[in-house]
Amino acid sequence: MKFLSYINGVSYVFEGYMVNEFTYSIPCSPAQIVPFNEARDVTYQSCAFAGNKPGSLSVEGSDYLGASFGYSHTHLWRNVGIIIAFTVLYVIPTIVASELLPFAGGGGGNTVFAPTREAKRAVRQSEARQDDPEANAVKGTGANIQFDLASTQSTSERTARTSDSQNEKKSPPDIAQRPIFTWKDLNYTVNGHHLLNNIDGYVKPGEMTVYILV
Amino acid sequence: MSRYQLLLIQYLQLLTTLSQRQTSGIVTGEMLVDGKPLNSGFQKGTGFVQQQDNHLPTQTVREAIEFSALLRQPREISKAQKLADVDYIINLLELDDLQDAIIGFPGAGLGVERRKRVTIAVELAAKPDLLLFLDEPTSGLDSAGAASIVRLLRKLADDGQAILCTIHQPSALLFESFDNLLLLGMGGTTAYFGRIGEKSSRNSHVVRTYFEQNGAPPCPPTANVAEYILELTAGDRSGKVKWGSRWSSSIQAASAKQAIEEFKAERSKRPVIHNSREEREFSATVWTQISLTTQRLLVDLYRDAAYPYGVLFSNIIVGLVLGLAFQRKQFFILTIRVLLNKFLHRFGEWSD
Repeated sequence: MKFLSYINGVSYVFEGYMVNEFTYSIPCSPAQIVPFNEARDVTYQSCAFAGNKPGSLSVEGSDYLGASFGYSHTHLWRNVGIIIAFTVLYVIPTIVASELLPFAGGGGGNTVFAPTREAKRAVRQSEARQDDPEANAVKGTGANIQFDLASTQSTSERTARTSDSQNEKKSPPDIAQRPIFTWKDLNYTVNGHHLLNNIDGYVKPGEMTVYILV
Repeated sequence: MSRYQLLLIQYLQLLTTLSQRQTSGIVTGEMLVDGKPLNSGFQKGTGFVQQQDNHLPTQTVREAIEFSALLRQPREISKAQKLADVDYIINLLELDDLQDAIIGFPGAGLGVERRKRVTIAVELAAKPDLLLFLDEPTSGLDSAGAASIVRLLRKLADDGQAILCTIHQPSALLFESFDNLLLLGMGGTTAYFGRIGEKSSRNSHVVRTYFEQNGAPPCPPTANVAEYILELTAGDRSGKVKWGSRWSSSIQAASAKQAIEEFKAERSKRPVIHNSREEREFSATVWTQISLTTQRLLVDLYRDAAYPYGVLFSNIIVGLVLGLAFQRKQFFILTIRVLLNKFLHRFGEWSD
């Protein structure tokens, strides 16, 4: 998993940031001094801390980073170069891709069809028709147009069965049976505002009424 | 309330009042169906096509219409008959080649005009044998889309559907497709109610004659009659001609009142047809409701799988981490060490 840190640009930034900041020496707290609690010569003492050196009661920042993370100040400008390289590596393909690739969803949107059983059947039917040279000869040249025609036809066949029988039922007597809605002297008041004032009217089956407010 | 708010409320008020959907205010007056007072079946007998096309984005067109038909038609009607109605409506609204299309979110998926057709179809599937209300069905559409919607409404009307709809600034062509006009002027008074033109010719002859005979300047033959009328009645604001009071004293108003009385007299003689819609609060049985909504939800989760996958994944990972943690303490400590020590402090050092 070590490779993850190499392909991640953040780790280079982090190293640069750390070595740039840790340039001072860190004095040890008395609790970290070994041997502990004995009056000795500093030459024989040290810190129980990463990056320590014998005979010193403080740890250099760069030593600490080197010992615990392997970071080094010499990597600083190398990392800057790597980050620029990463930027180029990521930005250029993004620019190129956003110029070349079409992104769906803008404008009118595109119609997606659900893969339902009936829809699949319709597609199969239209594909079968496409293979039929006679049908192609009749219906035209473009394969896409052919597909549209075929799919429209096959789906409308699905509804044609029932609608034919219903069309026969919808005869004028049916319209006469439907109720008529009438309203008279309609008033509407809210919060003291008189919004409707003695409105009369009716709506009959088979008629379209448009309502316009000035 | 600002003047703009008032106008908006007023605009919608007739539709909401007539469709029994108003929630505040006082309504007085007489609303009758075939000369009989409205009962609880009224709302179920009317369809209300709202201006916003609210649909479940993952449903297909056919599924949305079937859902409406199966839940909103009376339970006495067989399922086969309801599905046959769906087929009929799909055919009527010319949705045949779109019936398996996913409705999608606004901006993606179906376009505005197709979406409006689906909304109308969903309302029609409930069999509104009384009336279909439409709130600005052409708003947001280009002129071709608006013409297509009005042409389909005309088709529905010729099929026997009663239609009442608001339209914002209709073009002459759209205006003439309608049979009747209800024009409300200032203060919520009627400025005109009656035929727009002769039924055979479908022009705006009748309404134009009314305004010209009552002192309006003649309408140029090339003008849009709808705009001509709107300009005239907008003059009410400056107080030139009071079209509201002129209407109430006109012959046309009297004949409209007479027509209402005639309908009432003629229709109230008819025997009361027992309507199963009046008896119940919900048309479908509880079992049908539960099974259909559950089915719809499962299909929705399947088609828009990001959320269920997220839940599944996070539960498995969290369960694994916690489960193993309590089985072996070592693993727990290791997990914490990896997460905190290595990830946060010793960046990227996975090797040791």
